[in-house]
Amino acid sequence: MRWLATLRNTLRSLFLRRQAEADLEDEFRDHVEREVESNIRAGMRPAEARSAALRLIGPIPVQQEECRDWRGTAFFETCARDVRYAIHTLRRTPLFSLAAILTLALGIGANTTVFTFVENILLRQPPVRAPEQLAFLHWGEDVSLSYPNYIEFRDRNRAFSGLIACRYQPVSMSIQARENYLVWGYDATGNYFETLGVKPWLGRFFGPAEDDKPGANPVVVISHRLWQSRFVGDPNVVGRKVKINGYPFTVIGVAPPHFRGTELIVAADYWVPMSMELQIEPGHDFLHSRYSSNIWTMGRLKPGIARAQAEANLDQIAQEIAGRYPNLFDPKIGFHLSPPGLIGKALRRPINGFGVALMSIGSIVLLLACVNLAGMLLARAAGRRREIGIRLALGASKGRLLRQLMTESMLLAASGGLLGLGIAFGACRLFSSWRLNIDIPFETALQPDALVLCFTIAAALSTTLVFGLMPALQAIRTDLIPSLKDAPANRFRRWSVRDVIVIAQIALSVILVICSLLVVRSLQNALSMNLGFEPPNAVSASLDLSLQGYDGKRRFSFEAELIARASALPGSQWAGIINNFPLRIAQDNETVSRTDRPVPKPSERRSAIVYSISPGYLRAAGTRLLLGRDIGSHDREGASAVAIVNQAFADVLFQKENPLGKRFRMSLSAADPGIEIVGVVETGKYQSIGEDPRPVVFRPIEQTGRKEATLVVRTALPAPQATELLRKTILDLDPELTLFNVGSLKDQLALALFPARAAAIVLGIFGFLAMVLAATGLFAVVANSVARRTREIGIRMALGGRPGQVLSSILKRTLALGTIGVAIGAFVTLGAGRLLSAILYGVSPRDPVTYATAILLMAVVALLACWNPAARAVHIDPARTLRED
Amino acid sequence: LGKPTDLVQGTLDLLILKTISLEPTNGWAIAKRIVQVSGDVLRVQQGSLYPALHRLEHQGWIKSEWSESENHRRVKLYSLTAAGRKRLQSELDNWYRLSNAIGLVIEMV
Repeated sequence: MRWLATLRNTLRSLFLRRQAEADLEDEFRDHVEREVESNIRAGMRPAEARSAALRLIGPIPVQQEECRDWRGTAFFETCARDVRYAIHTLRRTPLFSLAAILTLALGIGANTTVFTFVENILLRQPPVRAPEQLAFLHWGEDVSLSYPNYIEFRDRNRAFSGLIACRYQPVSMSIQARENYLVWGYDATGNYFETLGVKPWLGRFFGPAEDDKPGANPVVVISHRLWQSRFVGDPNVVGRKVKINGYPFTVIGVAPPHFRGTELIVAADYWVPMSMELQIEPGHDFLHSRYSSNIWTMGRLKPGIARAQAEANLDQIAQEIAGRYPNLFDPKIGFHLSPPGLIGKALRRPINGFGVALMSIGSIVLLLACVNLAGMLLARAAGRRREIGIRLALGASKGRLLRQLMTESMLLAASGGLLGLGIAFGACRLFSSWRLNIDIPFETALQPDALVLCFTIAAALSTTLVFGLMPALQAIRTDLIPSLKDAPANRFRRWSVRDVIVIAQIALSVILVICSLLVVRSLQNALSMNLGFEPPNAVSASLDLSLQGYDGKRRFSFEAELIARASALPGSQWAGIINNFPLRIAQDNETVSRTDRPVPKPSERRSAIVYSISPGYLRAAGTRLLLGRDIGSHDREGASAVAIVNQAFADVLFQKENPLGKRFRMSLSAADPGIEIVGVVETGKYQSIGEDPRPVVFRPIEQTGRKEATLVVRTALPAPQATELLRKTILDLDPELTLFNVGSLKDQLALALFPARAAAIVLGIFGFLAMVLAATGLFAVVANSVARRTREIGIRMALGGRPGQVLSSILKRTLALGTIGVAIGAFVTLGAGRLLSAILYGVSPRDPVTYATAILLMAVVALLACWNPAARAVHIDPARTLRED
Repeated sequence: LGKPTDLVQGTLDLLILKTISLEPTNGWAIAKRIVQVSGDVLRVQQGSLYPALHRLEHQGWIKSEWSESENHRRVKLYSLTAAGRKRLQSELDNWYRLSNAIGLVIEMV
């Protein structure tokens, strides 16, 4: 406990300084008085006694100083002095200080924001018990299993203490009559809550006993958020009746505030037992369909079981199932486990990529800020050579001076870091309040926390080291004599550290500017490319008819009526229905093969996306028919099965043959008579804008019986007006319907364009930052060199130098440095372009126009930055300059 | 030899610890007692006493408290901490071992 005493002493002397001083005084006084008294007792006269006592003890102030040294506060006192001095120096050059702090704040702020993003999305774990034991099951690239297969895995595995399954989907929830909300949530198996280890906030959760008989337990658990918003925090919510897709359910519990399922990005607001699946999705009985894949599966690993063991166990069960059900579980593909949160790992790779890209760009900007500051500090150190020379001459130790210069940098970094933290908080709030223009509840809340704070502190400290140490070392390496004489040092050195810094600055900003221009151009291309439909002048609305009990004939007549009314709207040209609009999340894939060939082996199977469309859809969406005919009203249930395919489908299955009239099957049965191709349309984009051509099949909606519907209307009216009309028309037909994704087709692209848009915004901001930093850096360097060469320029002008010569002598060097920087930056980007190609669309990562634009832009910025200081040099008055000093 | 013997390097700590081990003592009395007990042989350089006291206190071997003297001056009294008591014991052991060894060498040679 000795250190405790030491600490107490130090703190006491630090904070009770006055008391400590008084104590010291009293202690010595007491000593002297006692000695005097003792001397008097020995017979001396008082005056003699005092002088003898003082002689004996020796010089008191020296001893007191030695005592003070043992207080352990010397370090803090020197620091305080350094900080005071640093504040003083920084306030003498407010412009420099402001620029430095802003530079750092932007760099640190950007990085803190990026780190918050990465930490929140990639490092966070779902709020369940022991999340590290939780694993998401992937079958190859597939994220879903079928329910019957899930049951086999659940009951027969030896690796998991619990295996749960859930299905994320939207429902229409009606809390009061005539009030429907679109709510996303899970059908969850009975062991869901107990396996995750989540405790109810109110009421109770459902267990395995309530999930054993299909349709027997209409109970629902709601999220805390839904309880607060839609149920206005009703304390008696447990026991309330709600209707989900028209079927009555009873609320039995509320989940704790932070639990919104195991996914980090998409959030859930309700949970119902999976045995109620048929009540929620009438007509879609996946509980008994072994060949479909509908549910996500997660398991809690038993203690001591490694992932590989669990995977082997699952593979073994899979092969056993494959023995009974041929065509299931290809032995070449295997199970693997991944941490849950991003639909297993499905989203992890793109988000990881995005995070890595962000982090690297953020670090480049921070590095740029550091380089910039180092340049400014170097320039300043040059201006302070005289001061430092004097202090060295007066006997200041180099270590002491270094410490003082570093204190200055540290102060800058601390202020910059603080401001940066503010910027980061602001940016996170902005991001959290921002919503994708789609109806899925994306969780975008960014919460800076203690870890983020640590990151910021670390960033500020390391930047201090990077930008502060080198100039400080350079500064104290000053030779005494020339610096006191105020002679320019290193006049004849060809390459100074500062030159390298300028080059690095320009190179880094060229890299960022080129990247951001590339991405912006790619976004422009994405907006104008052929999507396989025409986004302008079209609006759409999605509805789920099965939710309100429309089925069979009633549904088809309702849809026909809907299309008829929508086409009759003012300004309407065409209207039609598709089950899922392309470039949205939900897609149906089927295996396709030619009927005139044998059923292909698993490895040779081709899959196609299947859409169901009504007559008129193709024209409403603006999809061009290349061959054959459109779907007609005669292509109904019972008529011969027909389909329209896209060009990619025709190319893949029929190569150069004419596909019209050919047949293909969407099953694995050789007896299947197949579907006849009656038309071919252009190939578009269906899952992402960056995808390669994909085979697609469009079937008549009445032959497939798909329940989802997106009504598309091509219109001459402006989008907002057309949207309102559309909404009104649908609700006039049935006011109970829940509409979602109502808006222009352009809005519908929000999700598909999100990665490109996010990259463009981020890179745009960073590119702009980089340019500003490069400009201020250049400005500082040129301005400083002009200031230091004032005398020299004055002499030149006095000797007859023309302004042009002076200008060229100043700009030549900058120009040379700039050219080298641009060249390095351009070459580095050329080399690293491959990394960008993943997010680029329709523009080569080596696009010459972009490079030229970026270089031109940099040249203009550099010229602007040099302009003012160069002009000042030209206007130097020789007479006045020479008279100074 | 009129000059008082300088303290052997490093023994001042030992002497201080030992002196205050009996009762809380002020700085002046510590100096006097060392001189007295040693029969005027050991003289503490008064200039080094107080820095040593402050160092020992800062290191946590000794602690101090303030009281009032018979003639109403504030007096700082030093006493051992628990750690200081242990330290004293080990320093004493060291000292005896050392002086025994030196004594042996002197007698044998």
